Amino acid sequence: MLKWIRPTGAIVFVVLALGIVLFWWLLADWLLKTSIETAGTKAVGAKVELAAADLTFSPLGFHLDKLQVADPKKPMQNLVELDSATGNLELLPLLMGQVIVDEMSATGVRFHTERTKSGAIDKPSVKTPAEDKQPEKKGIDVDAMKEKLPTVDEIMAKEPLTTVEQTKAIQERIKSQRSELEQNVASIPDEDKIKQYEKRLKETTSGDIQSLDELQRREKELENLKDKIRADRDTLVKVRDQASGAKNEINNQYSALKQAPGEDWDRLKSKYGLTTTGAGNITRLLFGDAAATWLQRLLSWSNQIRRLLPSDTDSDKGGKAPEPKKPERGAGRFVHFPTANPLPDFLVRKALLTMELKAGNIKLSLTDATHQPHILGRPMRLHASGKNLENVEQILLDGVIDHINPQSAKDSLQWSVSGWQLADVSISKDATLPLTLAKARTNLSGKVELNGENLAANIDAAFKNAQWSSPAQEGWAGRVIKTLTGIQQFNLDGKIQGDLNSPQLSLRSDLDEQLKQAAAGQLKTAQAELEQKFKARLNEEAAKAAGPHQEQLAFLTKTEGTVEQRINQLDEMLKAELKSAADTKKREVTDKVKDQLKGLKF
Amino acid sequence: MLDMLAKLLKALNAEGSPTQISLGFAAGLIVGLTPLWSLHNLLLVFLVFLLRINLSAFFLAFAVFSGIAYFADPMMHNIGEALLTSSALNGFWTSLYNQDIWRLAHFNNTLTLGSLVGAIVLAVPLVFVSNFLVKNYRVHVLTWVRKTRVMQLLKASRFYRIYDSLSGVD
Repeated sequence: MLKWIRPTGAIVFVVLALGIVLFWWLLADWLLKTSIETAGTKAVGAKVELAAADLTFSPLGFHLDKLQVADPKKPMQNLVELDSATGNLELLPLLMGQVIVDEMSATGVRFHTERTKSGAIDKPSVKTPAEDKQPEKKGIDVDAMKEKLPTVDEIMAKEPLTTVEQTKAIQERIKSQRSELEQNVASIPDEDKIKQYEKRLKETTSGDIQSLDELQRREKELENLKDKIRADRDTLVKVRDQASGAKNEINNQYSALKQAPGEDWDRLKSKYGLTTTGAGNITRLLFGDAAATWLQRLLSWSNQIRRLLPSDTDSDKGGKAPEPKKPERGAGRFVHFPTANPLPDFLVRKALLTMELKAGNIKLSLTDATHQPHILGRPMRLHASGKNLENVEQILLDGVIDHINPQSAKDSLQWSVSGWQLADVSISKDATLPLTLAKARTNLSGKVELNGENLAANIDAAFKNAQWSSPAQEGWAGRVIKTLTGIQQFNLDGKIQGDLNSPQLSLRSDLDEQLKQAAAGQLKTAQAELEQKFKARLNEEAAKAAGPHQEQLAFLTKTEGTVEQRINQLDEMLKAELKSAADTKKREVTDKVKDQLKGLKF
Repeated sequence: MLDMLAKLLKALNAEGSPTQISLGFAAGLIVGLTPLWSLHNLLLVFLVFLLRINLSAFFLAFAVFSGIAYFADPMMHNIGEALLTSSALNGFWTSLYNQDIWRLAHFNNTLTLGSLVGAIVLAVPLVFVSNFLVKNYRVHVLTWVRKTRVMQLLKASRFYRIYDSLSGVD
């Protein structure tokens, strides 16, 4: 048996093993630095750089100096930067392939700091669908709220106006009426014809009728003449009715035209926001940009965190654990089984970070930070607080990132900021309504909940001692600013709801109501000014139809009068003829009867 | 590399046990195919040094199978994945998982388990096959090889000088 033993081999092995340990120990710091930079760069999609890393053996831990995590979207900016970080590692899990940081502290944590060199990496970063869709632009159509107040000329050119349409319609109708009527007037009996009728009538009815034959002849002539007169009378009646109808029609149209400017104004004034209802959009107009920026920032951070956590798309529909991703070549993946004390591949049990903001330092504590919360069975929690900061009395923040079950992932964050002294905060840079909140004291509180892809957030802000400033002094913006200067206290409530990729933002503020009340007078003045100008223009437009209308009216009245006169003449002629013939006959019969009665005695 | 090959030939041509060479090949295969920094490899390398296993065969096999491992890794990962996610074996793996020593051995790593199982499956026949080949080489091939023209030419090469310096005698 001993012939199989090689004693020197054991010594060589020990020497070899010690050599390897020594070699590793010498390179440990470099290996740690390289590992963090490589893994971090891959995870973030932009350069992660460390000035130095130090691995300590007793106690087992690490110390990192100057860590910079570049922003993949803005390579010349760091997403986060920290001066130093120190942590304790657990040895046994480390040998088992798990990095368990028992306690970690970091100082000088700063966000969005400038870089001297670009943090972009050659390989394009893997974008999440949410990033590709640019959610911040969807559903927040702030531009639509800033419709520029148009001039009267612009309205006249842009809007289909009833006044203009009706003016044209009247003018056209007058032309067609005139044409039709003139055609018919040409066919009515003129003065000469009437005189001819009178002459013929006189000839027929005057003089004694000598015989019955003559009577019958004259009656026949009269009947023929009567037929002609009646026919002409019918034509005259027709023309008179046409003129009368045309007069009514043109008068009705003209009456409607006189109403049109008022109707046009009523329709347009609500459209162009000069009602007090329009003042309700001011909140959205003023705070829309700022709210959209904050929402964008919130979604960006959410995406960054979620990229590191398992999502429901990673998991089986029926299972709890996420679907394993294909590991790197030569690495494999660790499969975990039920155990009394389950540990993920990477875990920071507790981290204390000192964040350096412009306002001062904020202490942030994180517990159970891991990319495999389903193994740990506990959600990541965070708490941040800061007191007596520059311009802020207190900031409190509490959050829970719960991805234990990726299918029902639920993240929540609630915060409060009290005693925040705002100074020269640009509210709106838009040229339509440039506005700065020169001074105000505000208390903020809010809550964000993200259930799967469903986002629900609300923020309540109370502003006091507000002072406004704006370069806009004239026009509509000037009037709004003037109104705002009288408002020192207001509340602002924001709500964000909907899908994470296209959330809907709504803003409400009693500023609207205050503006409505305060601006009512000013808006009325502005409205009256515009109304006056607008109506004057419309009346000018309507006046184009007034002349032709009057002319047409005169023409029609004259035609009507003439025709009526001729009808009367004809009517009179017809009456006279009948009376004269009857009298002659009656006289003849009477005379005959008298002659016969003279020879009789009773 | 030439040193290693020369030493292997020396071992093949010497009167050493064919089993020592075969075991060297098998150990090299396991260390080569599985992740290097593993507990089982530490133990195996220790045994290779402690026992009279042919080191040249071990290092040569390690080098060759490390190269093969580069291509075989995805397959080995799949084997490990299948084994570790097998519901039939779940109870067994769970019991191992709850013992630190097995966790230290990274048995629950798909590549480690898959490649170790694959390497052991290949190592057992390799021992027998290489044992058979070494024995037959010595009986039938060695005498013939020594007389060939190629061997005569080889004796004049740098490689043979290395080989010769190792043995001192023919």
